[in-house]
Amino acid sequence: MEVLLKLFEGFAALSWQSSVMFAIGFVLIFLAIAKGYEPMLLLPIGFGAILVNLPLQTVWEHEGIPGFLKIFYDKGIQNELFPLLIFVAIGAMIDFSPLIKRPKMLFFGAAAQFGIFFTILVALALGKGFPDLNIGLKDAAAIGIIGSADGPTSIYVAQKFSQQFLGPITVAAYSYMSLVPIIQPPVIKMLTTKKERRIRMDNRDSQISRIALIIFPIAVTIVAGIASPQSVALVGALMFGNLLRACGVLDKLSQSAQNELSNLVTLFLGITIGGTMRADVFLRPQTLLIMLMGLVAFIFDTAGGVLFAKLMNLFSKHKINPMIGAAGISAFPMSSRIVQKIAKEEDPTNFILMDAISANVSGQLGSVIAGGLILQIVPLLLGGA
Amino acid sequence: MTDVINALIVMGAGMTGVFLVIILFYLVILILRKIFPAKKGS
Repeated sequence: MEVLLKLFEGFAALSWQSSVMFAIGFVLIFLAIAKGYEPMLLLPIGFGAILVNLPLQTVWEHEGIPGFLKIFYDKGIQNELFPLLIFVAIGAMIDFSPLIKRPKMLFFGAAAQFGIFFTILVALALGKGFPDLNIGLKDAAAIGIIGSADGPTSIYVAQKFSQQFLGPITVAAYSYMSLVPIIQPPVIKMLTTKKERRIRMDNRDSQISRIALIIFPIAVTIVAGIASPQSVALVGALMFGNLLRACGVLDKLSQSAQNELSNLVTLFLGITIGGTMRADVFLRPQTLLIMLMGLVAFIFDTAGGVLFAKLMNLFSKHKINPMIGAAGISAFPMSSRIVQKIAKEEDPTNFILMDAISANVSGQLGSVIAGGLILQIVPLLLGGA
Repeated sequence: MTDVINALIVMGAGMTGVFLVIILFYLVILILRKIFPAKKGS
């Protein structure tokens, strides 16, 4: 009899909650394959979610023995390794020359992080309004960082502040990043007039030296490390990757970072994040809140960038197309392409892509700095906790 | 209530901090462009 029970323990361990998680996993895989929404992350996450919700959770932990997803989690996410390796890869993919040619676009990379901080406030207020949600400042900060529109930064901060919400935060971050073409245009159009959307940018291109491109990542790392020590790991990894690219003598390493490293770590990261989506952790009211707050974050990021551009226009002689502010979020290169698309719809001869790319690249820097500052400020306010 | 005040502090200090660091990066770029100007014809 005992043998029979053991034989069918898988069936006995099935629950409605695991069925719901299977459905969620299927939805993520469907979005990845059929709709092309961030397939490199959503497909592994979806499959990991299915795996970890199979009976007895043997891929996570069973009878004290860690499964392979738990091992990946301990070795790659618990110690922040995977997000940092992804950042090395991302750094190797970024070309900072449009930004160095147009340094004023840097400020949009700052303004478009407004959604992060606004969402922290809203998430906390909702947590106070509904005490059963049990959302403290650290949880709210981890939720707000979805607005960084940057997977590794979101994972990095969520891992430090709110491990219980790591799964939904990561899913929200990557899902909304892929939904940027749907989220941003209505916000941009609501906050700008047709005349503003038709503003042309000065397309004269200044030249920059190769040495400036090489020194830039080193200087940024040092400056960021002194100003925001908690951001050193993120900024340092990003700039190390960029230095591999910019130096011109490590093409093989740069290509490996952009391709093999990026692909391998993304593969492990995705399925491991999926492994954190166990039904007992994921199927809670807080998950819905996180999904909603992610949307709020992206909307207010966009609004922050656009409104800042309009503010700059009050004081500058040469008007800036305010849509470029929206490109200050870290969703590269999607956001800059969306801005150019809207500009072209208004005026087929208006080319603002390079300015938008500059702002978009700046958003990468801004989001990392925002993450580092949050990691610094929040523990200070909580008395070092 | 303390938490909400803390969140407002995070918002204010965070946005200010991001802008300050970005200003530093802006200065870095201006200095780099001044010290290492592009060669003519490059």
